[in-house]
Amino acid sequence: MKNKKPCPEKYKHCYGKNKWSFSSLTFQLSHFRTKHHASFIAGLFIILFVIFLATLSFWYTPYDAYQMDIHSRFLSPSISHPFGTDEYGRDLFSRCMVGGQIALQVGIISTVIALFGGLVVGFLSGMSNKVVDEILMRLMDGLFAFPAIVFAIAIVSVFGADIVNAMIAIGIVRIPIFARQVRNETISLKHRFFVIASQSIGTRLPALIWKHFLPHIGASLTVLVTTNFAFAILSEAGLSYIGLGTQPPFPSWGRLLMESQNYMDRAPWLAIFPGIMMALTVLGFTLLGNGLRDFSDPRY
Amino acid sequence: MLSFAIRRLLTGIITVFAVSLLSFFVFNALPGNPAQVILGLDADQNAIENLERELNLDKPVVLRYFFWLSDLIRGDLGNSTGYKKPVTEVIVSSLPPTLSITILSVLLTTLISFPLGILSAKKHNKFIDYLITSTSQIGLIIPGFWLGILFLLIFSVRFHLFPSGGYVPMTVNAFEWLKSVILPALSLAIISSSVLIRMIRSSIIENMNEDYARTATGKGVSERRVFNKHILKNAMIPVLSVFGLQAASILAGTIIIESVFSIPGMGRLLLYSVQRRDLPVVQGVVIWIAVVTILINFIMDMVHMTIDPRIR
Repeated sequence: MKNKKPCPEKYKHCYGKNKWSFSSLTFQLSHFRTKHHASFIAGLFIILFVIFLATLSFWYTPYDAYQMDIHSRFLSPSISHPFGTDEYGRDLFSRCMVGGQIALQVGIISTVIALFGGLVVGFLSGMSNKVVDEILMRLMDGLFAFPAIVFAIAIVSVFGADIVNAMIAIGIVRIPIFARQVRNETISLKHRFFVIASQSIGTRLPALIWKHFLPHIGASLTVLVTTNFAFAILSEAGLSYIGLGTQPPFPSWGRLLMESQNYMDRAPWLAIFPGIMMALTVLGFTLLGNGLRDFSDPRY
Repeated sequence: MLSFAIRRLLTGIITVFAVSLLSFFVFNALPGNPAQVILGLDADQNAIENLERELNLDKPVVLRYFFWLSDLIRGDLGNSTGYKKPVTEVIVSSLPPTLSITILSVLLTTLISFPLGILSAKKHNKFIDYLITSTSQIGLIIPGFWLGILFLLIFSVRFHLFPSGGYVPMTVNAFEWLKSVILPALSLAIISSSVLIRMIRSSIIENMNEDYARTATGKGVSERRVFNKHILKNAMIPVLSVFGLQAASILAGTIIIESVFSIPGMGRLLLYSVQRRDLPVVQGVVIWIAVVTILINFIMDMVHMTIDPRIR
């Protein structure tokens, strides 16, 4: 401890800040040579592109995503309709853009639920005694035994098929994964000297969590958050495909695939492009997650 | 060894208990009166009260849970409101297609992932390794049901090689049976394989660099023997638990893939029951799948225990 290296001039601005802040994140990223990680960069660009398309669709789509036009039914992909048109003559590209909106919405909301649920359960479990810990962890095991899609179907069957219920269900089913991570790291952190020292000078629990635990857990949680986006988008697509997620007229990618199946011989493009959009988005999040995992790995 | 098995069994039972608690909470804490839902809105007040008594709805929640649990342990999941038959019977009758797909898919996963994973690790950083790992990346980013749709598009719509849906029981015509389940099984297997291939590859490569492998080579054991006897055995240990998880996710995947290929299995049953608000059936299927998932993980832990003396 005595011979600790002085903080390099470059990183002075983040030194001594215990708060989980953007500058400490950029510090971590710059420290681990973000620039040289090709797949991280590729993932970032793909995600930015999808976010751009989805955000743009709030104000502008090439055609109205809901307006039916009976004269342009089943047009195959061309320059004016890059993804073709569907059975009501709606432009598939515009509908896929709006679908991006829904996918990102699902990703954000279910991830927020999983993250907060996981943080609460994880900290409770990690900081309290063995009995509480054991009960909470077994409950989490029980929740984890339900495959995501099955649990989501259960929730939707009771509370009704709509997108909000689907998002909540997908979020809840991912709580155990976050909770386990938070719990394990909390347990390993709570015996470290800096935490004990902080407790001994009277730091209260909320401050302790905010100042010491969150900054340490943050890095591994960012990995989980990114991969959770990919998972949520795939789950919602599956759920919408069987008609229990997004309800018409909203064009989520899973819903578009479901509707495409009646016209597979006439219009195969309806079954291809929404899937490509989905695969692209998931690829982006996966690459991003791989990059973040490498950065948080000390061996990298 | 026995104490580990018993401890593992106990956690398994507790997990099943947690599953039952969660399902009871989801299915029986629903807003509104279940008796009213079953009988319809314009039902007689007397009939509702009778049914409430029959379903124990007039009792406190905790008591209801224990009634429900004791029925569950005896295998009584209640009666389906749609089919007017015991739920267990309804589920069992829908099992054959689902089990066919699941088992065939697990088989295919094994046949695809182990040879390719081992090959990829042996040819580490060669062209064939890059080819396998980059192809398996595709399996990670697309959902199984879309792969199923693409298969339908290619093999049924374009080339008319396979039926575009439906299920033929094995007892009727084994060849037609295989034709009806091979595409759904394959699309699930490809997704699971791509996870496993990467896992197998990285696990083997990690073990190749271990000290024990070098020691064995150093004392003159032939390279093939080191690989087959030492590295492969150790590398399979972490793969096993992932294999169990993949088997469980294949089972869950059948629910959606059955819709793609219109196969009348458990997924179809689940879907119909949700649409008709036949909650006892939904509850039965959900619990069944969760319990099978726990069972698979338990079996995998037992296999793990028998091959790895370190955790006994």
